[in-house]
Amino acid sequence: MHTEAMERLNKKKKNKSQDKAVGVWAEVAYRLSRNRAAVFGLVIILILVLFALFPQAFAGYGYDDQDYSRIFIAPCAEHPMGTDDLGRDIFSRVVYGTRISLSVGLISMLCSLLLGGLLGSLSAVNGGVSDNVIMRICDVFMSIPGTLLAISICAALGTGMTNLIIAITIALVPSFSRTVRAAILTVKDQEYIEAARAIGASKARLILRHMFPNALGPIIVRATLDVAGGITTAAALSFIGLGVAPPTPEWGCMLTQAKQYITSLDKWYIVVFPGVMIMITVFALNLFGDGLRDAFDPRSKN
Amino acid sequence: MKSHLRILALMLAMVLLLSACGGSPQEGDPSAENTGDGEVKDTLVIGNYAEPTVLDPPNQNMVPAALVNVQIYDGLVRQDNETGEIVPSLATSWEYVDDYTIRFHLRDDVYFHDGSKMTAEDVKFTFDRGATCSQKSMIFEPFDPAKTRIVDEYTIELGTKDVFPAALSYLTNNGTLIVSKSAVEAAGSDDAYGRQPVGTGAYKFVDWIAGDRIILERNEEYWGELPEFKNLIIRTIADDTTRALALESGEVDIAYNFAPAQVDMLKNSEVVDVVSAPSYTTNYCGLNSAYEPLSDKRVRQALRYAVDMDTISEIAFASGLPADGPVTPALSCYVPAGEDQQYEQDVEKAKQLLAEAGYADGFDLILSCNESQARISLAQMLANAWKEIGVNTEVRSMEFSAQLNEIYNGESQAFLLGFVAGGNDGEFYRAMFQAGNDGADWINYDNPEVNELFDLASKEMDAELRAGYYTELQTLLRDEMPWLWVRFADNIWGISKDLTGLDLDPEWYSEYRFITSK
Repeated sequence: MHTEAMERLNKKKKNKSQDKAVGVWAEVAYRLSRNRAAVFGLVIILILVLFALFPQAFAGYGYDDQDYSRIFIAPCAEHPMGTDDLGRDIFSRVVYGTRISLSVGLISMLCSLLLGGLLGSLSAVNGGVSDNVIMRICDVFMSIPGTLLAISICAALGTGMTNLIIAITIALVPSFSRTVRAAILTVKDQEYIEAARAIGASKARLILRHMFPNALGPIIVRATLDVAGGITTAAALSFIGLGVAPPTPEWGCMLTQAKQYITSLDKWYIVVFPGVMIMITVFALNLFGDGLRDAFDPRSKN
Repeated sequence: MKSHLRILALMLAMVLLLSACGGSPQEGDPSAENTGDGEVKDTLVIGNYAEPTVLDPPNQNMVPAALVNVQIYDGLVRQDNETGEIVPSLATSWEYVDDYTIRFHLRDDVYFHDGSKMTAEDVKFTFDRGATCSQKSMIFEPFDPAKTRIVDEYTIELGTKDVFPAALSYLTNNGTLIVSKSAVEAAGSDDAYGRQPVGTGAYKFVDWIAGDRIILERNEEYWGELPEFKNLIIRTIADDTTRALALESGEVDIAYNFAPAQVDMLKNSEVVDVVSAPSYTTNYCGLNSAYEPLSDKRVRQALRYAVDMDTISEIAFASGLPADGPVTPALSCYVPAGEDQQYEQDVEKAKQLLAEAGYADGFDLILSCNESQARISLAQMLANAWKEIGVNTEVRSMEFSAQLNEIYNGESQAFLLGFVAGGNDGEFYRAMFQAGNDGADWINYDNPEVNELFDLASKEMDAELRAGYYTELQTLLRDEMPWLWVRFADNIWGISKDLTGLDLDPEWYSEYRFITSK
C-alpha cells in the first residue's frame, strides 16, 4: 500500500524539476529507488504478492491434490519442485503457502501496529503515570522472548490461523509501542504541535493529524521488518506443531512434515523448497526494510 | 576477525554434520566392535525411545519402562515368542484346582538380587500390592487377593473373582512381574523402590543416570542360562533420527520403534539388520458416537468405503499389514474377514450410505492425531478421501498428552490412535468395546449384543466355545465399525549385524538375555 504510493510519488518527482522543493515522502521514495538492494527486495515482494493474490494462475495443481501413484518425484518439467510423500505438487503448495505466510505476517503486523500505535502514542502524549504504567507493562512482556511468548499463547489458545495471528500480534505489540512512543516523543515538542495545541486542537486530532504522520518514518521501517519477523515466527510455530494444521500448505508446516526425510539425500527437494521460500521472503522484506531505514535516515541525506 | 571465526565455526559444524551422516562401518567407533586387541565385547547397548518413569512393574504403563523391567524381573510364567505358548518361568508347573483357582509350584532355587530367597510370600506380596496400584489395575482386577493362599514355601494358589479363562495370559503381562517383598518394604516408598528395583532376572540394576542411561549387570546367581553379555546399558535417545544414526554408527547395538523414513535408511545400512515381527498393535481411527452423524452405523461404513485403506496405510506406516478388523493376526483368537466384509474402496456406495443415513450433503468432522509423522500423513489422506463424499474434515494434530486427554474425556469426534493388546487373549479387547469400560467410553459405544458376547467369552472355560464367541464378536464389530481399522503394525528393530538371538516380542518387550554374538 505504502509502496504503491511511494512509486507514484517517485514518478511525480521525476516529472517535476529538480530544484523545486520536494516533500519528505517524495524524497524518501527517490532515495529508495536509488538503493538497488531495496528495489530488488521490493520486486521479490511484489512477485510474492502476486502469488498470494492469484495462486491459481501459477500453481498447476491444488494444494491438497493427493496422487498416490506420483509420490516422491524429483523436480522435473511437470513438477518444478517435485512431489511430496502424498504425491502433492510441492511448487503448487509453496505458491498457495505464500498466501498464508504473507497474510499472517501482514495481518499480525497491522494488528500490532494498531494496538502498539495506540498504546505508544497514548503513553507519549499523556506522559506521567499512564506512560509509566503502559511502559512497565510492556517491559514485563518484553522480558519474555517474543517467540517463547508466542509459543505459550499458541499452546494456551490451541492451533489454527486466527490463534496464530493473535499470538504473533501479542508478541509484537510491546516493542511496537516502544517504537511508536519514541517516534512521537521526537516530534511532540516541535513548534507546529505547539501551534496546533494553541489553536485548540483536540488530543485525538493532535495525535492523528500532526504527530503520527510526522513520526511515521521509523514506524514504517519497524512495520516492514516486523512482517518478516511475523512470517518466521509463524513458520517456527507451525514447525513445532503449534501453528496451522496440515494439510494447510504453510511453509513451516510443510517443513515439519518434510523433516523425517532429512537423512534421505535423494529426497532433498521435500525439505529444501519450503525452507528456501521462507528464506527468500524474509530476505526480501529485510532488504526492503533496511532500504527504507536508510531512506528515512536524515544523516544519510546528501 | 570476529566474522572469520564465525565462518570457521560454521564450517566446522558442517564438517561434523557431514561426518555424522556418512559414517561407514570401517570408520565407526572401534570400541563398539572390540575393546583393545583381542578383548571380547562384553557390553550390550540398547537405544530406548523415552525415559522410563519407574522400574516398578505395577506402577508403570509404558513400553520404555516395561522394556527395562523384563530384563530385571521374572514373572510366574512367560510367553515363548517363537511358539506363542505360555511356558514356565518362576513357576515350574501349575494346575487348576477349580474354575476359580490356579495352583502354582515355584522354583526353589531362585534368589533376588538383594540376596533374599524368592518364596510364595513374595508372590502373594506382588499380587496384594498390584491390586492397589492404579497403572496396572486392569491386569490385577480379575484376581482376588482374598482368595490367594500360600500352601507351602514354594506353592501358592491364586484365585480369580469370577471364572476367568484368560488368567494365564494376564500373568504374562509385565505388570505381574514378581517383586521382592523385603526390598519393597526396605525402600520405604513406591517411588524410592521404582529407582532401586530388585528382581530375580538375568540382569540386575546397577545405576540410573537420569535422562541418559540405565546400567544393568549380569546376575551371576541367575537360575536360568546366563546371558553372554556382562553389561546391559539402556540409553534414552528420544529423537527417532538420532536413535537410528546412533545405531548406524555403532553407538548402540539394538534400537527399536523408528519412523518409516528411518527404516528405509537402516535397510540400506551395511552394519545394521532390520528385523520385524507382527505385533499386538492395531492402528485405528476411533469414531465417537457422541457426535451425532457418527452414531449411525451407515455413516461409519461410508467413511470406510470412501478410502483406499490398503494404499494409504501403506504410505503412512510403510510396514505391517492392512487391517481387516480390530484383532491383530498375532493373536490366536483372530479370524480373517469374510468375503462380504472386505470394504474395498467404493465411493458411490459410500455416498449412497451417507444419503440413506440422511447426510446426503455430508457433514463437518474434526479428526485429531498426535505429532507422529505417520499419523499426520494418514490424517491428511483420510481427510482428502472424505472430502470426496462431502465430509468436510479438519485435521488437528496436537501434543500426545493433550490428545489423550481429549479422547479420555470422550470429547474427540474422530481420532487416530494405536491399540496394543496386553497379551494373547481376546479379553484384552473388552475394555475397548464393551460399554462401561474406558475405551468404549472414549467412543461412547454401547451395543447390547457386543456387551453380552464379551461377558460370555470372558467366563467360558471351554476353549472352542470361547473361540466361537470371539469369532462372532469380530464379525459383529466388522459390521458395526466403531473404529475404522487402519493397519496392523509390525514391530521393527534394528540390530547390529554382529548379533543374533533377538527375542521378537509382539509388545516390544524383548528379553536381551538371549542375545549372542554371531
